[in-house]
Amino acid sequence: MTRRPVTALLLVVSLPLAGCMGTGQAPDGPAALYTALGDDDVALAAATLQRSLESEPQGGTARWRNPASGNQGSITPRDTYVSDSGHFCRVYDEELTFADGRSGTIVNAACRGDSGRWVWLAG
Amino acid sequence: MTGKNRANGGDGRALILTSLALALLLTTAPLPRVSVDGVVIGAMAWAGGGNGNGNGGNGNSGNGQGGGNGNGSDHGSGKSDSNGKSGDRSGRGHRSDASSVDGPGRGHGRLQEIEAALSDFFSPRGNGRGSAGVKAEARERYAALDGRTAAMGRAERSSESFGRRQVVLDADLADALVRSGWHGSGRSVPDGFRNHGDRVRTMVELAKTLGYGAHVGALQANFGAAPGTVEPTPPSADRAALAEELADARAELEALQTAGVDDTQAVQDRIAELEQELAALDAPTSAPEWDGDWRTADLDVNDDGRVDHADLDLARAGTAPVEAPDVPDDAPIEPGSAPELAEPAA
Repeated sequence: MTRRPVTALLLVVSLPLAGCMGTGQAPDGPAALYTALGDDDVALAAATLQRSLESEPQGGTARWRNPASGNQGSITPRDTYVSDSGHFCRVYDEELTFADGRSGTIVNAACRGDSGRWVWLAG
Repeated sequence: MTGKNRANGGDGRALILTSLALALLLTTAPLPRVSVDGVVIGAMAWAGGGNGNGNGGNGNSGNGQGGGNGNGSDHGSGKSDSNGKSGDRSGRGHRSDASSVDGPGRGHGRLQEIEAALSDFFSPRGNGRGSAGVKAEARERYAALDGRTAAMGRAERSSESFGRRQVVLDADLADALVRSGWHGSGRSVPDGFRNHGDRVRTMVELAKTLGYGAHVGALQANFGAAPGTVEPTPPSADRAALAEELADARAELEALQTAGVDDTQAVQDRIAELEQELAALDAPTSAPEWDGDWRTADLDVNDDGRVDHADLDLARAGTAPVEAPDVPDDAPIEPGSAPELAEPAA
C-alpha cells in the first residue's frame, strides 16, 4: 500500500530521466573507463603510449597488463599526419580492458613535441 | 556504475528500475542513443529484445560494421558508424572522436540495460563531467606519470600549439618515419643548421613562406628532397633551447640598456629572429596553397644546391616565386587528395 504512491512518484521522475537517455545527455561514454584506472595502470598505459607512438608501425599494437589489478590495455596507431606547425601527429586507438569484464576503445590523437615526447592532444 | 553504487541501491533502486522500464515501455521512445563528444555512437541493443546478442542496429543506429554484442549503451566491438571503415571518405581513416564500449557480458536484456544506464546516470564518477572532462583528467594522469614536469605539460598540452592537421601520410611513409626515429632517414637535406630542430623549423617556415605548406618543409627536413650525404643531426629539445636563447638575449639587451650602451641593434635583431622562430612553431597556418608532391617542392630559393637559412631569408624578402612542379602520378602524398581524417581528438 505504502509503495504505490512511491512507485507512482518514481514513475513520474523516471520519465524525464528516460528523456535524458534518449537525447544524448549520457554519461561519459567509454572515456569514463579512464576513471577506473589505478595509478599503476596509468603508469603502464602512459609508458605504452609513448612506446607505441614512437616505435609501432601503423596498425601495430603495443600492450600493457597489470597483474596486480588484472587490468590491461593497448595502443594502436592508425593514422599519421603532419600538423600546421610541421609536427608529426598520430591518431590512435586506446583499448582498455578491466578485470571485471568492462572494456572499451577510445580514440585519441597525440603529436610529437619538440622534446621528442608524444603529447596527448586535448579533445 | 561501481559495485558499491549498485549495492547501495537496494529496493529503492529496484523500484526506480522497474518504473523506468515501465516508463520506457509506455512512452515507446525511439532507440536511446549515447553521445560521446557530441557524436552519437551507438544505440542500445533493443534489437535483441533483451535477450542475447543483438545485431546492434544498422549504420544509423551506431554500428556500421559487424554489429554489436548485444549489451551496453554504446557497444559493438569498436565498430560504431562513427569510426567504421566505411563511414568516411578515406576508406581507412576514422573519426577521432568516436569510441565504443563493450560491457561485461553479452546478452543482457532491456531491464539490465536500463539498470546499467541508471547506474551510469547516478554514478558520482560519470555524472556531469562529460567525456572531455574525463579525458582531460586522464591526460593529466598520463602526463604526470610520464616523466614530464607540470610546466612541460602546460607548455605542450595545448593542441593549438601543434596546429591543425595539414596532410595525412600514407602508411609506408609513416612506417619509414618510425624506422628513422622521426628525425631523418639518412637522405637528409644539405646541412647548415644548428641541429635537426633548426633544420625542421627553418624548412617549415621556408615552405610556408613559399606557399607550399608546412608539411612540405617538415617532410623534406626529415627525408630530404634529393639524396644527400649529410647524416641527420640528432634531435634535441629545440623549443626549450630556443626559449632559453631568447630569454638570454632579452636579458642581455636589458643589461646593455641598463649600462647605457646605445648600440644594441644586433641584440635586438637576434631577439626578433628568435621570436619569429618561436612564433613559427606555434602559429597555425591556412591550408596549403600548393598541392603537389612534397618531394619535388623547390625550397632552394637561391639555387645554390642547398636549402638553408639563406633561402629562408630570401623567401621572406619575397625573392622567389613559387613554381609548383609537375606532380608525378605515383606521388604518395598529395594534400589535395590525401585521405582525410575527421578532426583529431583535439
